[in-house]
Amino acid sequence: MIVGIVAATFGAALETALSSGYTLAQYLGWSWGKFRRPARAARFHLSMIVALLLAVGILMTSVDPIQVTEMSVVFSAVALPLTYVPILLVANDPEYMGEHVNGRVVNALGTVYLVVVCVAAVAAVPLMIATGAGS
Amino acid sequence: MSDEPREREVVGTRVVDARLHLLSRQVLDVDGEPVTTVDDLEVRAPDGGEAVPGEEAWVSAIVGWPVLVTRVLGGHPPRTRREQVAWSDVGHLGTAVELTVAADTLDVGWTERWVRDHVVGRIPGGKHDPEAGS
Repeated sequence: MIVGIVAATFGAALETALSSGYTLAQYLGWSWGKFRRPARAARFHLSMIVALLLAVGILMTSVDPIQVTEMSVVFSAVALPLTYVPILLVANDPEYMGEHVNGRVVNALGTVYLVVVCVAAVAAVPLMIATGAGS
Repeated sequence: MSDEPREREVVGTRVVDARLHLLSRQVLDVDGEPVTTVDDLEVRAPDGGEAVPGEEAWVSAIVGWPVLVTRVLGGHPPRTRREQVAWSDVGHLGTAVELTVAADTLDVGWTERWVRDHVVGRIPGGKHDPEAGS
């Protein structure tokens, strides 16, 4: 069981550190990716190092890590439409997608999911307050 | 990033919407490496002087990320603080703005080079090619 927990948390930590690098680098147009030499995507790798140090720093303040996780999951639900809508727009742009551009059926499904995502985003914070964040 | 050069359409006149086709787009260098995003555009008069409202003006440069701060918060950075790429270096407008020069020859990439030379390049394994095997 310990191996499982280590594997799961280690995987999640890697993914989270990587995502901070990808988010910053792609937003600001920097060179990014693990397929490049680290020196050829220098700012991308530096931002991951900084994010890791910040994360360790936060944990060292002896804050409850479960509470930090709960709060971040809630706020990632709030931010979901902000990542979902741009992807849906690009998927409808033939300039990017060529022949793979979204058709009507896919867009109908995509819109249903958009509603679900928006409801979750709107409900997340009120639910967190109403339930006392699971406490 | 395929090895074959991509076919480029030659179009007589193409209408480009600056907000839709330029602003916030990725800028790639001649090797397809990301350089910056189009955070603003510099517009000048055809003779290179200040653009005059009501008269003809050309896009003279792509302005990079430091201007993002003032675009959000207001104001203008002084011209010497701007990071920009001359419009004459632009080769093709697709889903990204493709340049005809290498990123390392451009001023706009100085932060990338600084971090490469002073931080990441000095870390053991920092120059390891992940696609070259072990």
